[in-house]
Amino acid sequence: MKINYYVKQDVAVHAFYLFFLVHTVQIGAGLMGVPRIIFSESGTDAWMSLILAGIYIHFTAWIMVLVLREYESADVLGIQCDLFGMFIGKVIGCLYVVYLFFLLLSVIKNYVEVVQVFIFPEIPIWLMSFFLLFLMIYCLLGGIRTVVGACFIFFLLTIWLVFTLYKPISLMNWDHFLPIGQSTPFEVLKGAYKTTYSLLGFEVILFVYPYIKNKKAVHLPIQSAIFLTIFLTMLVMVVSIGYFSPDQLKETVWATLALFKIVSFSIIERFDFIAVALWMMVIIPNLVIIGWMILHSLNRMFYVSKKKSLFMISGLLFLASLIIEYRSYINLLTDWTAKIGFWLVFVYPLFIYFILQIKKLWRKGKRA
Amino acid sequence: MKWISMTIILLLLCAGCIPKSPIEKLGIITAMGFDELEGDKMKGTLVMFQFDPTTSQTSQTVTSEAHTSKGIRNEANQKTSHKLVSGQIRLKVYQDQLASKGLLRYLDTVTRDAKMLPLAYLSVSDVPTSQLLRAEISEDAPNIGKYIERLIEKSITNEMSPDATVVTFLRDYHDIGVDPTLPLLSLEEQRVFIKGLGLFQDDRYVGTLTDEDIFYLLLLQKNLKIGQLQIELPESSMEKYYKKEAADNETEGSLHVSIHKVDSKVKIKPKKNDPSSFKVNLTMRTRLLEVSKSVDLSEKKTIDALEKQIEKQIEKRVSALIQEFKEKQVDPVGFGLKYNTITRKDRLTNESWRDQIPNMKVDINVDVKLLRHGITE
Repeated sequence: MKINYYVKQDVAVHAFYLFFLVHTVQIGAGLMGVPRIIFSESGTDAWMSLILAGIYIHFTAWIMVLVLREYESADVLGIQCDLFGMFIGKVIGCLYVVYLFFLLLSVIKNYVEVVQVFIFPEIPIWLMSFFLLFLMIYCLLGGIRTVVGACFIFFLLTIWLVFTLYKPISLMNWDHFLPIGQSTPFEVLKGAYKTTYSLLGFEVILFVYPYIKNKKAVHLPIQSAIFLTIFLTMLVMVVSIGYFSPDQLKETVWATLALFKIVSFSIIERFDFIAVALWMMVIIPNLVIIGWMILHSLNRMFYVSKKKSLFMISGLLFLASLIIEYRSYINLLTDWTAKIGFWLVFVYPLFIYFILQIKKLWRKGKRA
Repeated sequence: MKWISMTIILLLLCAGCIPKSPIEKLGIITAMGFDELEGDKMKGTLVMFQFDPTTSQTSQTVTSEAHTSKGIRNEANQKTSHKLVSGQIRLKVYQDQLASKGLLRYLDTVTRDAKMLPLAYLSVSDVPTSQLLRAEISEDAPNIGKYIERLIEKSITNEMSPDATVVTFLRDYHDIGVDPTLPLLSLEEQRVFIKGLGLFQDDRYVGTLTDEDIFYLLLLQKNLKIGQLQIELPESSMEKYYKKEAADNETEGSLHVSIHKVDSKVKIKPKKNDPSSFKVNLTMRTRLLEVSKSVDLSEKKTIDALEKQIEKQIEKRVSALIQEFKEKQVDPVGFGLKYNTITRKDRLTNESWRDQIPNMKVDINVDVKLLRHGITE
């Protein structure tokens, strides 16, 4: 396996599209329930947790790009093989694949659960999973450029949902935020840790880097995508805290979707139905990008053809989504994915950067 | 070609797998009423729409008995040929005896079932709801549920009554230091009307506020834009300012003033470490529409005097209102919540605030500005 990975110019994408790639993979199933999850740790100071998490993510993304820039055109799979040797590098690569698989599974499961609760309690799980996987396969067969195109389109098709939040905003009670600083610093940190699941996904830059045409200009799109993600999460968070009373928010599983419940227009009485259905468009970029990362990793490490692994992974996902039935199992799956994701995405890149620096110093010392 | 056939198969699958609900077979519930029965049971009254092209009657009322709200629906399903659905329930009325035992157990399904409309109105009735929801409708509303819904909606948008949706009720219930309120419905000569406002301790209905007092509560609760108010001033209050040419019979009796488009701002200031003392600043900019006596309004000092009198009267009414809250141990204004916004240690809990309410001292400061007084002076 080669460290650097060169792609043909006709499959490479412009750095500008990284904005859509990073943003759409971050926004997804996590956003539906994130207010309650942060709130249960840091209470009405949840916005502080989010700011902390946001700063940290900006920093991590910056470090990721620094790591990638040490090489000419490599992804994380190549870099770790270079640093730790083939065997350990591939083991960590497999860990990534397993983590991505669970992330994908949890996204599908969470969305199917929401559809069953909100719109069609009667719909069988296999049918919903089949629909989602069908779309995922269809898109992935087109390769990286289709993936990027899907992100772009679905971003534009769903971003307007933000404006429908005006109604809950008008019903907010700002007294809920006062006094500021009721929770301890430790609780705020714990809240920041809990944001993991909803902000995961920006590790896509570690995989997609070789495909970028103008590698010099990656910082701006990545950082602004992350900023938009944090901003949207913050908006949803703040509106939920103002709109729900604390006890209510602790009980509301999908606070974001519950906010859409009170939006109504004279032609669409129940906007929440539209919002939940539209959320599929938010979910699809998630599935497609994460799916693409899995295929890419398997292809890089074991030279498996992408088509073969695509159908294999889809089949596995389909079966796994049938096995998990109870809500509590879905929560367990989500929790574990978040835990693994925290180490792999938020801590591991820093570690790589650290090792890289040591290696550089060591080489310098050797030369002198 | 492969993709086209795939798509067709998929479309067929989509259409086949989800149960259909043709509208002719549905009974769409628009209003529900709950009455108390002996034991743990309750009686439910359902007002529903039916869109059957063969009948001319579009509305139907069904009564049934069960232990839970969903049980009532299932029971009622046996009494009609339509499949009852609850996605359009816009109004829930509870009999006062039922409400005095706590409403929360009836609201669980509203929060749990995603199909339920969170913007539905809640209300209390002092007559059995089975009568209330069978009352005549003289206006052109399609059915009684819709009529009552419009009645409540109108009084909320015209700032004559606080918000009464499920969301607001639950939020006020869960927030510490605020109690919810709901409109109280009643029947008079077979006509439904809003009699007053039901006051709640947590989710238990404990008393009513008369129609006139509702406005003063609203003044304390939020900033108003279009409220209107009638005030009775004592006979002697404006003696000096009557027009000289006014006849004696015009100046007898108490003075009634009517003000419109009240644009009010309220500020409640709690005191640090003392949950029993509050300062309320009320500023109102408004216009005068009716005075029952010929007062000379051409001079500034007349207006100043009138403003003073109105301020005094409002202060009196508001403190009487707060006295009433203290006696009933309710806090629909949210003084407790305001206190909690400046407190970190020893925050109020629901119980401790309930005990504190009777000790509350509120200092009220009203500032009225009569900006306009119509096209005459």
